[in-house]
Amino acid sequence: MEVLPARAGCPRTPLPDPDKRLPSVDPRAVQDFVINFTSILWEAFPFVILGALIAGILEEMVPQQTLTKLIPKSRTLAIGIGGLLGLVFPMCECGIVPVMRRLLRKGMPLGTCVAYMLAGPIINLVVITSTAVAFGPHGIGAEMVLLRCGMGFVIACTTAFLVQRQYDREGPSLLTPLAAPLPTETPLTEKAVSLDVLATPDVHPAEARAGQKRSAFQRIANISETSLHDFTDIMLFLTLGSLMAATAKMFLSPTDVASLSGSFSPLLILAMMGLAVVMCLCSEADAFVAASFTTLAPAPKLAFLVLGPMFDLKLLLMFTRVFRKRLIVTIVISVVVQTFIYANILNMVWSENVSFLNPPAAQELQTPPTSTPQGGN
Amino acid sequence: MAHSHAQGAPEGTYLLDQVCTVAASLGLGLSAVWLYQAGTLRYILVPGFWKPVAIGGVLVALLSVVRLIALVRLTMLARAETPGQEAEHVHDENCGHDQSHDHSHSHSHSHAAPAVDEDAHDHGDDDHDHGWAPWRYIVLALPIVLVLLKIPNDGFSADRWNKELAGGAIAVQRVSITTVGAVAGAPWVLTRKSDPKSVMFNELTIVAASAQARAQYTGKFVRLTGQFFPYDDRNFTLYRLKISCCASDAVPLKVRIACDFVVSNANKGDWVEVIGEVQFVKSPDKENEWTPVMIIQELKDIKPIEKPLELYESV
Repeated sequence: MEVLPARAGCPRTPLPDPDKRLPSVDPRAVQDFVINFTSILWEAFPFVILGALIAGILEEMVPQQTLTKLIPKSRTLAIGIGGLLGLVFPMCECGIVPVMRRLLRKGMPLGTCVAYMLAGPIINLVVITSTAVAFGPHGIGAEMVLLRCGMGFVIACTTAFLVQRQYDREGPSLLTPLAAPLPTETPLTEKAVSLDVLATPDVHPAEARAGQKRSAFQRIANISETSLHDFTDIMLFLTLGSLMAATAKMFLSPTDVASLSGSFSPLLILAMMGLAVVMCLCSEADAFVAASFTTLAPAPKLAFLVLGPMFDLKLLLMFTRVFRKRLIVTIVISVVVQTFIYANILNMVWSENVSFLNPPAAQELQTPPTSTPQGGN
Repeated sequence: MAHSHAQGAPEGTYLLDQVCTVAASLGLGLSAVWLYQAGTLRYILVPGFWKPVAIGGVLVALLSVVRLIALVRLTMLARAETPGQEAEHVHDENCGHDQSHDHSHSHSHSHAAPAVDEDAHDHGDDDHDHGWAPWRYIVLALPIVLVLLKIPNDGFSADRWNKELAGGAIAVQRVSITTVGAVAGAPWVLTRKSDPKSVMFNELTIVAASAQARAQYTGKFVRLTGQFFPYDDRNFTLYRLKISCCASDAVPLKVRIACDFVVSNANKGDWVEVIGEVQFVKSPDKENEWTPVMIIQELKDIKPIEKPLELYESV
């Protein structure tokens, strides 16, 4: 009970606490760790399957280079479309990685893919709604949604530009073999695909596979192969990421960050960014957690909401399945630095939890009670 | 996965790797179904996610079975036939796909010149997913093992929330019955009906934010179920965790309890049901922040109960 605040004029009778005598590895602490670990893992599980299944179907059904024709030639436009793609194809950050990897392979420009990967988990209707609902009772729902989406879009597109430039210089060696786009020409001959495939890994049957006629079982078998491969691949790194997050959560909790409130605001913004990286929350849920920091100004909360869906421990490990180290460094630095800068700028203009769209006087009248107790006197 | 880099490695590792992939997927799929079936998901996820996890599990299990059949067919064909003309044709269809991911490797480089392929290995050092890598399956087995061990089998421990519950305005202020009475300005005469309505923590928390709603709730008798967190022998908080998706985003909601007698029938973390009168106490140092308080009249209004089926409040 040493955590009880000892306030003057507030005498307390400390209760005997047998827990203090237990050794440091408390079974209940293990239980808490397991709950954190399993909850992150199993929550992401259905989304990873969905992503893997979409990836499998993409690989099998969409002919190579079809996507390239759909994406506009203008680079700016292509990246902008990527940033808004989440509105049409909503995906959360766990499901988006395998899908994005297959899109890359199918020839979608890297910039578009990165913009979609970063902005998709923020700019989609599910997340917009949950953000509005979480901050609605605080009277700043509309502002938080607008700023979250705006910052997310700008950061995603800027990062996508940087990544595209780096890709122009350094080429496909920035990607893992699995993500690298297939060559445009498909010089596949009957002769090439033979038993020798087992011995010489130089021929890629998948190039010719999509769009061809196959038996239904063959198609399903192929989809199952790609899907399971992507599923285990992402689950592996999701498991490691969840373990890291659960470990980190033992040392850094939201309360530690909230207790900093009132201190130097750039420090607070940094602390909230650190929390976003550690907690690995789903972008649908993080708004509720952010809203529970009642003592914080909006800017640190936004830093938490914008950075979390773009970069956290589990995503870092999942990125390694798509990008090489150099590209991951570019993405992470760009996202982190931009979030920090924009949040600090915002903090100078909007430091109170007061709506600037609605007059503050109207706020007290908002949030009527949902029901009235019947058993009252 | 195993194949393209297993230069010189026996064909068996490729097959072993594929079989392990199928086994891991099947294990994870069945684990998900079991988590749903055994009700373990209630410790970690909101009810809305239970079905998606189960459906996802079934889906992965089905995919694993399909893949297993395809693998068996492939091996049978490979064993049965010598690499002649006809076998070649069959393998064109089957083996080819099995290798597809691994071979993409070579395609990041010139497709036409197989010799270049060797270069690809050089910068692949940090993330080879090729070759037989048992550690991958050990990591993947971890969640399955936890499911087999049937953990988690309870919610978070009460100590997990020490900081959240003991700190902050809620604990700072010693809420006594007299201060509450004075704040509320209500006459200290309580009447109650026999069966008060149950309220949610979330409901009281939302109500506390609006002056109008506070006036409506003040003085009502309600029933509340939560976990016990004592400050001293007559001051405690009831709390319940609110989760929006998974237990990792849990936030404790609290209602301060005040009574005029020593509470002896509950320990930290125990589930209790209390019946009492709702009041709101203004935070001493913050404008517009109100804490819901319940005033309990008698010890029998604090009733230890079994852990409820729904541990968390979810919105």
